[in-house]
Amino acid sequence: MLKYIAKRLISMVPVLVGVTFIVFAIMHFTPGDPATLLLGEEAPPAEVERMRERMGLNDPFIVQYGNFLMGLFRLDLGISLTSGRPVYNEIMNRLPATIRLSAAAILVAIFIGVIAGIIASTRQYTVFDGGAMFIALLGVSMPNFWLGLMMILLFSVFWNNTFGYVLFPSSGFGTLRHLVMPAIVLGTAHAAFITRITRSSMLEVLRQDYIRTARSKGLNERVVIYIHALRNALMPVVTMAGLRFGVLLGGSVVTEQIFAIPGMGRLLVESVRSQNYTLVQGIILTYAIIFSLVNLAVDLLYAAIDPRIKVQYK
Amino acid sequence: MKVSKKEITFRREVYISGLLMGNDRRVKIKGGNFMRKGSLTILTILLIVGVIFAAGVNSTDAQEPKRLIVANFADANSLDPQRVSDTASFWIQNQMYEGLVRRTPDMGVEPALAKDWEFIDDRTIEFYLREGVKFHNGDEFTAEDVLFSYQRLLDPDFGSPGASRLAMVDIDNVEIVDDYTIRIPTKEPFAAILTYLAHSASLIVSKSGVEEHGDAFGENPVGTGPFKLNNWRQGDEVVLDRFDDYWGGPAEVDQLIFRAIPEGTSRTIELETGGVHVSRGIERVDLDRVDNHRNLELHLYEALRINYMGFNHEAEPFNDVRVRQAIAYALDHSEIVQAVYGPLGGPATGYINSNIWAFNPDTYLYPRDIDKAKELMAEAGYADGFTTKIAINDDATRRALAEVVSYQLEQLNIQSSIEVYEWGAYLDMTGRGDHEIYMLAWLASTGDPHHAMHPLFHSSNKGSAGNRQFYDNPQVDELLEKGMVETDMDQRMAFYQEAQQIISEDVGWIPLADDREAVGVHVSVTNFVPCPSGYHMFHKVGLE
Repeated sequence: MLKYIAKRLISMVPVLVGVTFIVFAIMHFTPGDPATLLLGEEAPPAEVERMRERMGLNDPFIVQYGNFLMGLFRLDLGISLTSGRPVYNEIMNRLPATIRLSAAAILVAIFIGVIAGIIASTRQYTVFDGGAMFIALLGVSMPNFWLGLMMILLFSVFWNNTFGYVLFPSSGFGTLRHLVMPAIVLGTAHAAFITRITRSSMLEVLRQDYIRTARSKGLNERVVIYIHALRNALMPVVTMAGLRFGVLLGGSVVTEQIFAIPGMGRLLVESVRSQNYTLVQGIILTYAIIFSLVNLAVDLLYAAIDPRIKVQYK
Repeated sequence: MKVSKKEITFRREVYISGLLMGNDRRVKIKGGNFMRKGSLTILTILLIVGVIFAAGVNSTDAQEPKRLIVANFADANSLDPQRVSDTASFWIQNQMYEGLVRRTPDMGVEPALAKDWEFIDDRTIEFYLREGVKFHNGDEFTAEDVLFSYQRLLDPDFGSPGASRLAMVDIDNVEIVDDYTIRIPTKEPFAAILTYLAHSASLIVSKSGVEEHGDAFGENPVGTGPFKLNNWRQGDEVVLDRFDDYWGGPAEVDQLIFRAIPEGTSRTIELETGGVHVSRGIERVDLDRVDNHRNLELHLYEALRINYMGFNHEAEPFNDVRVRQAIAYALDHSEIVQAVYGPLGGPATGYINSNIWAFNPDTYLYPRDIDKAKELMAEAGYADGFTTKIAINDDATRRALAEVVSYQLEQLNIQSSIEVYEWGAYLDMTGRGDHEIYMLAWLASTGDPHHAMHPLFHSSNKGSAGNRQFYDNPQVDELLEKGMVETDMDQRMAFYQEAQQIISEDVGWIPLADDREAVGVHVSVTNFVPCPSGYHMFHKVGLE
């Protein structure tokens, strides 16, 4: 098992190097001069030129990329152009908020998704099935910002006007109460995917012979569904949840913006906008690492769910 | 209670899996089933009630420290004033640091760390510093700190984005007379030096603080202002504590918290629901909401920014003054302001923002006159119009502006396409002169006419230094140079006003709108005075 993990970690390296190259190239060939952006609109050209020289922007592309890679080995991602702080620190400052939000959201998604999926599959073609699928569709179709604003209007504004206090604060981060609304907003969007995959996977499993066996030997339906069927149906669900978690870690920009959460999504958008190229590179690289790790974790979870797979991990 | 064999198997399976919730449809056990269902319901109710009550407990204890919470539209990039040049950072820093002098809300200059000053000759100003002023780290403020701060700002290796603000200071010849007297020479005679020293880039940092923290000074700021840093959660909030040893007397509130809330609607909602007391940047759609709210006050004030539409004077057909004049005559300014800005803008009627003291109200020569515009176009040989491009950066307001202008230009048969650039690319492109029509704004944050005009209209600043329309008029150059060195204020005013007149005749560019900004303030906040610079001060602001 350890050998397997080590193998997987090593195989991540070329992927990550590829990612750095692509990001570096994109940022390098994007029009706009980082030195100008750093020194501001009014800086005299001579100063800008001096800054370009100092930042190494006049070196050939391949030299700049080489320097960047060398820095990576020392965990040195460069200095953020807008704040003067090391990029590594900037990312580590923002990562916890994103991870907490994503974890809360994926829990909401799994909770809603798995339950709705089971209900839909065990009562196929009934009102429950239709209802669960409708809600799933609704969840994925509602834009994050709209649902977010509606929740804010209800739990912050309306609640405040009616009861004289705010049930859930409309922005900020820190306490559990701050986390409720953004987690639900993000969770419902991703719950839809999990509902669908749970349903179809459950339907498939429920048709299997061993389910018929279980039923015919007189086990009650609940045991058949939750213990015999669900466990085997979970595999695609875990994959989906893992991928969704990866997406959440990278893509909650809108939600972070509305609820003023100090996460990575906002940092990325701000840094792209100000062409803070060192920070952009650092964030994309972090995303790539997280995504690879999540994938690995999903594969390892397979083994936990299905012992047959565990045997193959050598 | 009799338990069936089935039930035993059932419970074992449940125990193993731990997945079971709710009741069972096949095995109906009276009592047990109800218990489970009942307790779950009760638990849920208790939880909800708990959440509601926990939230409802009001924490207005008499002993509670006074916390003033302010919504900013972005977090500070750094708390080191020499590291940044953005307004979100400067606003916070102005509560923590001071310069030798500072701006008053009516755009005058008043003493801050310097209690007095004197021009020794036309190139040297001598400052007499306040004695007994303490930095947040307990060290005493002296002339050394002033010299150190300016040296750091101007050090090319440090690369401060604010360096151009004090570029005229002859830093190598600054002379420390004694601990509380410092002489600051400029390279050329420079009349507006005080307003530049009042700019946020010229805030004084503690020498010992910088030496102690080095590159991490931005997170460990040491200034002399009425508030000092308690805690900074980056991207979220900056918590400042009252600095009890402040020379001007301690601030009214115990804590001042700047929260970063990027979304305009979210800021307004926080203001409405009591999450913040003051919010900057109320958006147009929310103005009425704040204005009509019984617990909120709306402060609408003139900012120092002017929005304009520029031409590349070196490109056909805009090198012909008649074409520029025709366009000026064709635009309907009140429609533009109404459509794009609403209450957040006023029609711009000159070449500098109307709040800058040298503003000449009589400059703008082009009231709307379509017939005259068509005549001028015909004279210039463009009776049938032409096609052109309007370049803008990616900004919602500017996009709306371009659309209205493009529509209005059709009256002269000028067909224009709007091209949207990313900011960096936009600065590059307009700096090189690859543009025809473009739109920009200019914020003369020092409030001085030199800052408002020299970068934009002096021929030495063509291109990326600010004169992006490549305007070139020796007469204007001369007036701007005279205005820079003249120390007599009336004379200066005359130079700048004349320059504005000439620029208007030449149609250097077309002013579109002066910016207004809206601040929402809760009624419990006392003594709040908005500042045109946008850096509203909180030293004297209280909370009831």
